Amino acid sequence: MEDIFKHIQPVEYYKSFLKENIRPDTRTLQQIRKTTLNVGPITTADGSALVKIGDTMVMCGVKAELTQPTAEEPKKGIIVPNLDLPALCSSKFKPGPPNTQAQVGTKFLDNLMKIANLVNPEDLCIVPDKLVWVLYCDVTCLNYDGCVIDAAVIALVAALRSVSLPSVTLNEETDTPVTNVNEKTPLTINCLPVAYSFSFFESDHIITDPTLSEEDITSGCLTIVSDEHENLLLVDRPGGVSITEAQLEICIQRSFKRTKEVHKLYKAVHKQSGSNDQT
Amino acid sequence: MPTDSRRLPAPDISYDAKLFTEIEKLNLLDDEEKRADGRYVTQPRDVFLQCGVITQAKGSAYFEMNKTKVICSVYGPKDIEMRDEFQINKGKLKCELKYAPYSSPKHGDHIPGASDVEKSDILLEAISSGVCLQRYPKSQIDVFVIVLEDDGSVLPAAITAASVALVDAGIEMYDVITASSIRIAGQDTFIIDPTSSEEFSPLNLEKSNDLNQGMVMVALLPSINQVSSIVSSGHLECNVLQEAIRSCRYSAQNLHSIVRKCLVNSLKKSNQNNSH
Repeated sequence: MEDIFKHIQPVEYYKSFLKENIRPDTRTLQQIRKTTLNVGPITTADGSALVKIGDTMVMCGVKAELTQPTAEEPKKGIIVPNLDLPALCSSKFKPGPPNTQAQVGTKFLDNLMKIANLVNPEDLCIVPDKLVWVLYCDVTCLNYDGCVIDAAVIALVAALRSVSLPSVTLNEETDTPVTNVNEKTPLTINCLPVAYSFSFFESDHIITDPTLSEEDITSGCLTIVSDEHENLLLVDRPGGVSITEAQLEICIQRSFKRTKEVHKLYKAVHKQSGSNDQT
Repeated sequence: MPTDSRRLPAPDISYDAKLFTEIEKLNLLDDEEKRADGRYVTQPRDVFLQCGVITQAKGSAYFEMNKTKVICSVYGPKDIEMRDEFQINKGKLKCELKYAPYSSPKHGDHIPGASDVEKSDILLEAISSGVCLQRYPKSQIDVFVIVLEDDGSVLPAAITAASVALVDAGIEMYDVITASSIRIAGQDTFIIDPTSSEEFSPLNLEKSNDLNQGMVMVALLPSINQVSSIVSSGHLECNVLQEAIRSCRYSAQNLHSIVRKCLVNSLKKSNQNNSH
């Protein structure tokens, strides 16, 4: 009976829960789902992380390879993020080239990495004009249940933090690189951003960490990215119902709080690298 | 490499840094007839299998054999998407096998290459015999597999995971499908469940006239003991091939108990959840 009501009138179904200030999955409007972070599951990748926010599951793998720098930026390495929403993770996605949402997500990650200067491209330079590192950061969504961007950012940052690059020198005579796998230096991460998503139900209620069914019936997602020093890095609000300044302020404050909690996760995992931790 | 306009521009050519180190010559077997990871020649890797990992999918499975990690999800039965594939008497099964870009030592291409399409086809062929497609006329069942990490024996892992995911989705089947692969390095050396370095490394053969080198994979319906797919590559003499197929069948048969246990446990858990 409940399932039929949910299917036919999803908005009314949801309203009946909101009246009691609770959501169908028994969370309050401000409660976040359980977040789990596991670093290093993929040994073929130079850095990897698996993040679960509730049922949403996202895997990030970072691979570092050698290439020639571009002519425009001879002293900078190259960072290529990519968000993949494969047909595996949800029935919404069809197999084939990346859909709009995946492309927007990829650009979001790219913008975030540039704004936060997550990895300084100049750190990736080995020999200017001849040899630089290219970091392929691939984020694959494995289960799509809302807030994929939040999970993707945590996975990306955690995976990058676990990357250690071997020392590479260029042999002057043969012009080929020489790698020493025994000497590894960890990648310098300049910032630890955390993304936090909200959606708005009929301009009144601020829904934190919406699941997929909540994303479908609410209008527009607001994503706020901040770092541990309460610096606002990115505010993304692509359309949707209009919100007041007061609501935006509430969201920003909540995101600062969330950032501090996720930082405990990052720190705990960093101490025991390659292990699980959850909050 | 054709430029993919839907992804951020990446360098045309890049090289794995480990290519430029001194490569150690790996021997397949050491003096005690043990492999690099300590296993014997007839010993398969330990398996971790769990279903119901992807809540958005109708059915799903995660299969792990030490480092080889494969995840599979099943959607359907649903309306057929392409009108020209519409069949009145039976349903259509579609399989897609993809490698995650970070799953192999060299960064993978996003655009699926010929070998990805070939593996998807082998997966489809191996699974089709087990699914009762005539129960789903005018419908389509989608099977998606992503290889998260490739350490050899990817196809057997994908086939087993796909069949478990199909059962988890409630699709009617004659039997689950288990698969196993074997590396032949000489007429007396059969290496079950090879890792990626064992799949391709040559064994120093004392007899130079023994040219048997290859790989065989067999997919089996264990309860009825029927083979649904055999893939063999390399140079193999007839009797060596037959022996390899026999060993593969035995190994795939042994996987049946693990698959059954996993499915029974998942059913028990879902019954417990329903009764709460």
